[in-house]
Amino acid sequence: MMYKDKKIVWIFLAPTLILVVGFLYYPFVLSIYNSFFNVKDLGGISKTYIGLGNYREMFRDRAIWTSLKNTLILTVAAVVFQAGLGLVLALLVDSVRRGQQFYRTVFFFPIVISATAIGLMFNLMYSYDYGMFNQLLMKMGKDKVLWLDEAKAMLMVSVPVIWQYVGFYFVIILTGITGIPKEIYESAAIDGVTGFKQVFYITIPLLSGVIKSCMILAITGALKVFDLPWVIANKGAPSGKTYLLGTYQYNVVFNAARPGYGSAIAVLIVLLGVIISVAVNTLLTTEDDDGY
Amino acid sequence: MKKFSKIIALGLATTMFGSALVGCGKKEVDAPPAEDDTPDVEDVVEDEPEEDEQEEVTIRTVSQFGGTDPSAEVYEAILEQFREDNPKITVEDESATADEAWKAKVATDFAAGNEPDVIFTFTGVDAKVMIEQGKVVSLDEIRAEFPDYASNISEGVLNSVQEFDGNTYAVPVRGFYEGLFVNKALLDEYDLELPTDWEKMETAINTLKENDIVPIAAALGHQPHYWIEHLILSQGGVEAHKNQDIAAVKDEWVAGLEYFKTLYDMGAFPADTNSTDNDIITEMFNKGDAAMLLEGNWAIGGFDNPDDITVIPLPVVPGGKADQSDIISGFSTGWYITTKAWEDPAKRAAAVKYISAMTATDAIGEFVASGGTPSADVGEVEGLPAAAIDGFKMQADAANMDMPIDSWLAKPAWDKLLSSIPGIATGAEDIGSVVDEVITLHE
Repeated sequence: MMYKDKKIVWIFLAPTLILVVGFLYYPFVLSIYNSFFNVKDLGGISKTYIGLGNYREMFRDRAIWTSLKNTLILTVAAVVFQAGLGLVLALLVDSVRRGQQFYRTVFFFPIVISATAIGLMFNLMYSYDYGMFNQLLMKMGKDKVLWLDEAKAMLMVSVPVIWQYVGFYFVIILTGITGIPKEIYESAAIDGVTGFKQVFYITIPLLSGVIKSCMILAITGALKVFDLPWVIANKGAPSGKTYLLGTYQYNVVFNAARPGYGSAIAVLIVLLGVIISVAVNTLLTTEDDDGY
Repeated sequence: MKKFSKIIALGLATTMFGSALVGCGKKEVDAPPAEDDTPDVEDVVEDEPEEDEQEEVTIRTVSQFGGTDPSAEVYEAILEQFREDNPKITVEDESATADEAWKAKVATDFAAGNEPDVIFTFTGVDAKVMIEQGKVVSLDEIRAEFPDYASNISEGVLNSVQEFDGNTYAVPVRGFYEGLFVNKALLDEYDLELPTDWEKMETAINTLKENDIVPIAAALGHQPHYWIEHLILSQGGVEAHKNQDIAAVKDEWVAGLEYFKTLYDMGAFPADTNSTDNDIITEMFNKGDAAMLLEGNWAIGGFDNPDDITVIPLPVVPGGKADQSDIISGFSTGWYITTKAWEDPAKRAAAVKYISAMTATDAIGEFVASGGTPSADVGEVEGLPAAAIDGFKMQADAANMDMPIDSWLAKPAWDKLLSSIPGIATGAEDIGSVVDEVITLHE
């Protein structure tokens, strides 16, 4: 239905527009502006124009490169394990006849727990002297393991991040599977297509749109993840090895009180998010569809 | 100002220790007589409006006495009493444990115009921005209308928290000291002497390590603050420690910070010192799984067995220029009234009344019951644990006291230093380069 009076359209759109402009675009434009200044306090009193100085500093800043590397690794891991495991679990659960609701609840449960609570829980598991993992190892007569050492810390941080969201993609994909008409499977079965062949030739192709959506969500989610890694590995512990772009940016702004440099990192995060999302969207778009 | 602050703190500590000796038998300590004509609490609130004149008002407060802070219980009790006594004043309390995140939240709240009406926060570099922005009211301005405001607080203490512009804004409650808390029972178990010099410290570390006891509870990846200050103080002495021209004392800084690696290589810290947090290592010390903890007096309130614990200055490192008795100590926190509350006629008197209740002599006496130097003459403090009494003695014996480095070091420089400590401890970071970056960021 088309409204002749366009004013009503604007009235309905206004609340969202105001919120999006006020809390997203305006701060982002302000971040771009601030990224050209050296701001030495959170109040923004000591502000000196330095042009591209903050961007030049990024090239010299080792922590930025560590954060960038970790963020990209986590992004790939999110696509492979969050969306991938979600798909596998959805296919498995779809094939069981009884208890689907039980599995839906169990796999979705971590989503409803706050990331901070999950972070604290994993902290207690990883703790060297009092952690659950090391207590179990000691019960088995093994030596304690330093779970959050420089070599393993990023993996240990990634595990709960991925674990928390597997259920989210599982539910989305399972919902997509249930939307596929049963007649297609029945016809295929008459033609002798069963089991894995049905999965590869019917289910996955028909789920391509849903899978693409999940991949884009996993990528954007990984690019902006903050809370869980910050709780498990405060300030990129140990030695800044687990910094992600989000956690490093937070530390630069709020702990180091350098909002100017932090704004430059924020611009980098947004640019990276846009570039990766567009690239993935382009790569996954086939001639048959209009993309995600 | 620092010298003056030091003299005041020394004076207070000496008086307290003297009194402590008198009352040791019954575990009572005479608090320092702050000023001769210190009025009683009743006098402080004398000029305030009567309750029935008070209109209904809501004030928002923020303090560090929340969460796991050992004084949270005392604060809550005083707050409840205030609510009971002042039914027309609604207090919205947003207190939380003070850490770097808390400081950041306070700074952003002030920057965004979301500051509370009254706040208990840090003085010095952390207060600089809110003072520059005119967000808090000076004592002189408040006293022009409420002459008895904070009149029970020692003038010397108030002078010690004078800010860069010559004004005093904060009303301190208690001073602090930092020192090496030692579990005497654990040391006795392994026939170890108190680590009063570096040699004894090394012996203690090696022996405890051999017996699977963590020698020193420290979270270098989370809160290495006290270690940074003490190692630089120990190496360079108080003159180098307080020298804000870091380039001039760079060698002392580098040599002091090298002891992070020395101690790390000796296995003095927990295995996960670079990734664990302060709450866990404090609990480790509390449970007797670690023998030493470098902390501030506020930690005493959280100890389960404060009578088994003593506190001493960190042993001077070999070749260090500090006197063995030198410590980090002073007044670095206090209550502020924000300009926003002051300019609101309905809130002005309520804010004054609230801070007067929180800084009343009786209240200060309760706050210092777990340690710390009172900012007013609180008389005898009963039931002090051994650790607190030893803390007063340590203060009294100190040849020199200085404020922590982060009371003057620019935030970006301080954060660089904090973030670099795990790397310095493992040897991954070049200390000279780190100090150079700190110098650049401090400029």
